[in-house]
Amino acid sequence: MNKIIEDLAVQVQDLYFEFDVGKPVLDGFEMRIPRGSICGILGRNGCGKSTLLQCLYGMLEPEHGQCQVLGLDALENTLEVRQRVGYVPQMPQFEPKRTGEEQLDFIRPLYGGRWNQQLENDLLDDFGLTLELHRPVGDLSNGQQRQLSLVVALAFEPDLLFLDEPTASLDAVVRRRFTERVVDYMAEPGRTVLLASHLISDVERLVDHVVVIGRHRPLLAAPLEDLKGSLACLEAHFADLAPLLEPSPDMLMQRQDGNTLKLAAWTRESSTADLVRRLENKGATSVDEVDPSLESLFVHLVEGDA
Amino acid sequence: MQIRLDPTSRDPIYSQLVEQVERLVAGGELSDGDKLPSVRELALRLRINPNTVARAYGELETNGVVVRQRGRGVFVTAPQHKLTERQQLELLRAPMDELLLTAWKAGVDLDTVLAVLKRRAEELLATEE
Repeated sequence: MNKIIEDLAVQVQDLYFEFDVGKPVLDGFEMRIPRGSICGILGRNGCGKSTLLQCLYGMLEPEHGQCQVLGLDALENTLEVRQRVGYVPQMPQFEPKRTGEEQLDFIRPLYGGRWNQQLENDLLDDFGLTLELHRPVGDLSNGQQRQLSLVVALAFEPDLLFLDEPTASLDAVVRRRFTERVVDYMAEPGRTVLLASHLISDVERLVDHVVVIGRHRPLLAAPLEDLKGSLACLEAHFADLAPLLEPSPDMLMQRQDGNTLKLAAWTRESSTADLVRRLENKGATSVDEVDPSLESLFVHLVEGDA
Repeated sequence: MQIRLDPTSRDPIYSQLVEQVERLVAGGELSDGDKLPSVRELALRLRINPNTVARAYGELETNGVVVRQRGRGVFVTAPQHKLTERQQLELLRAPMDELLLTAWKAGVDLDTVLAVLKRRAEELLATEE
């Protein structure tokens, strides 16, 4: 049992969180992320991606449920979690009037011996921030502030990295540099990245695990390979109102939309051809398979969950 | 080493990588003793998860295409055997499909394609000499 927990970077059990009473952001949320993966947390704007990361970082207290990060309880061991997890929030949390140098002077001691000064220098250099450190952080561009935030998150060589919409509103050059730093970070074995994003084409080449968040909870959590290899996402068209298929354990979702039926089902036991046959037996006039890009699969799943 | 990945494809990235390295070896662009980029280098170049590269290298090793030498790197180990006729044809398949598809879409008939192909081959051979 201990072995299992050690191999998980993050484990979330039955998490419930609400900002307003009776309006859950996360409800019955379960998730297990193995160590060594780059996990994409995908969902539409406002689906609770940031809230989830904030719960994992011990910034928000859920109504109930448990967040284990590197085997530690996010609420009870917040300090230790934060010393081992690098977190790049969607909005950098710097004091705008302080200069970059002052921010770093303030942050370094919090990590004690873990802080790698050489790495900090390299990162600042790489991002072209070295000469900007005397300026108040509020005067830096949005991209520069996010890069400074990434420097802080990486310089203490964390075991786990949380990135909240890392590339949103950054230009292509900065986006690429950001990605390269994440790849470089992952070159050390045993490290893990959780990457919340709605820019799916950006993360497709990077992630090996995917959690798709629907309404308040994951619609699906799987290795990307399984998502592409063993999940059939089909759109069946009928002459009249679309019928539903009999529910089965491998059926992930099905949704009627007039004459169209959208469905997603695991094909580990059966095959896509079996599903198509079942749909045709129900009177489908044509069945289209969603193209296997992560973006198309995501849209199909999330629309089907609406 | 020219690697082109299609992250939107159904094939996992690691198996695209395996397939392309194998193709480069089969086609003679990589030969016995050539050193492959380190996991970190290739991951950075392709902007993919280093674990994906490591997995691909592991599979290439299992397939007997590369060998990992501790502290030195990953080397191509495939013997330079002559390709069988089937392997030769296999190598041609993808570019051939692409050519035919382009021709169909453009409305070029097969005889014309064959004629153009022959002419082009003669041109290339002429410039090589």
